[in-house]
Amino acid sequence: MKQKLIIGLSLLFLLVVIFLIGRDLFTNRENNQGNPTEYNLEKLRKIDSSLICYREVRHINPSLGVVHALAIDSSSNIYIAGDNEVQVFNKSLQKVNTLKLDSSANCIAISGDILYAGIGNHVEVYSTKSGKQTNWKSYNSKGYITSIAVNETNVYVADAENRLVFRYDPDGKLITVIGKKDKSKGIDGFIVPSLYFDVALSPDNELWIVNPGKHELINFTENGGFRTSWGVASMQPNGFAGCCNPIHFCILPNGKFVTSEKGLDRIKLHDQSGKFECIVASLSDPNTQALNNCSIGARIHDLAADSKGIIYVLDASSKLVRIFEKK
Amino acid sequence: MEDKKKYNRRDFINSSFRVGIALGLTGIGVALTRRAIAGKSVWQLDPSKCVQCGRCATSCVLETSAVKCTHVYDMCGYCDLCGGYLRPDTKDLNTAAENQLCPTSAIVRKFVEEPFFEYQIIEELCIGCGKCVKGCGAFGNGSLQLQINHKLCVNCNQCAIARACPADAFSRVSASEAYLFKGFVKGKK
Repeated sequence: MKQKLIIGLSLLFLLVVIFLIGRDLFTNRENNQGNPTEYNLEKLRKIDSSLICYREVRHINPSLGVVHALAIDSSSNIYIAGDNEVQVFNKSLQKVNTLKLDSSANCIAISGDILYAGIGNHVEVYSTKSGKQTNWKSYNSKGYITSIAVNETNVYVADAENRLVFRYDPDGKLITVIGKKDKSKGIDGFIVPSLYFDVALSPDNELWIVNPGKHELINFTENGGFRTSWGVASMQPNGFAGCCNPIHFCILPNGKFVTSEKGLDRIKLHDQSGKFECIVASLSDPNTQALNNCSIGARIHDLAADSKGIIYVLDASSKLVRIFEKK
Repeated sequence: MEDKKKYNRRDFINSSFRVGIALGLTGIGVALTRRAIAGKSVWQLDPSKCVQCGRCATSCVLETSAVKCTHVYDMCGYCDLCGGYLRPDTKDLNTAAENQLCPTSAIVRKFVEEPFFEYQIIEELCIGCGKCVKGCGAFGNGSLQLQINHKLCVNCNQCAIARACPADAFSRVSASEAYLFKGFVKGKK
């Protein structure tokens, strides 16, 4: 009887050992547990859906191989820059014109029927009716123009390589250089770690420039005098994440700010004083992570708003202009 | 009148054998020539395919992985708030251990001038987990990149990390160009 018990227990022990060996051989527990050395960014990318206050209502597919920049004129016509051309859509989203450029524009701005295109280190001026007008002289050969803002009397040009903003008159005469480092005047200069450096004008013609390395937007007088600033570095929605954000911004007719970030790929609405209000859109999804990881390019390539406060987002990965309206 | 020799079975077998040997020797010759022209090949990972899953740290046959973080300085923004050095939402931007993303403190942060900092990798401490690479890629310029260090790699016939890599980022490359860094494309965002 005792021997039978020992044999039974031995068999049971053997079966348990065979089961454990089989489990180790034929199941992949590593995948179930995840890799403890992996840096998981999904938690950071997750957005509380209750914070989203806009919804995508339409989109424009310009059928361009690459999209570089976006601008909207006072009549709500939409200008989308691709390789060597700018396509124009009316407010009904019908294509109405194509402007041929000598080169690909990194950024564009429109005033009346004049289109300003930032191409490499200089600005080129085109008429929407009669084509190319002139090239403006570049500040120096190493420049890289990333943003242009224009009103009736001034054209502000942001240069990410020189880390300066230039104020020109509409004829291309350089009037003021803004942001030149000058310790005697307490000007630290702009910190631009990557090629994202945006400038915009408010409806009251106030000049706002991003200082991406400091995670802030700065308000200057037209002569380059510091007026005020806002912005804080944070992974939370109320701040700007990463080394250098926001990468783009625009100002709504009511003076509120719309900002976009790389890394966490989120577009946010801030009130007139910079206080976070809500999320316009979060474009982070698993399908775009490879692109985000690349990071040399961000998914959102430009922002613009029309006179009704409708927000237009240039989505570089899907080559679409996504249109957002308040919920 | 029977001077025309018959081609019998034995002749056929002999001919086939000779042709077989000739083909074999030619094949070996071609293979050796190709190898001589191509030179030695080594394993390397392509940073543009790498998804920083962390398996380089755990799958290498060496006690400490031969995959190390490498810093491509011309891409670096020398940022104060470095996504590859600091944990997300750190309270202070300083070198305190609790603020560092690297589990082995293998990155040294040196002040250059306000507000710029230089980041150096201590290779002996790096385990190749890729946390810093992921942080730099997501929030910075992507100047931190994983590469196999060929001073350490034992160049296995079948690389254990290549087998575990979910992104198929490993391939054999010529030893004369053993490193595959990615960089800025001039004039592009």
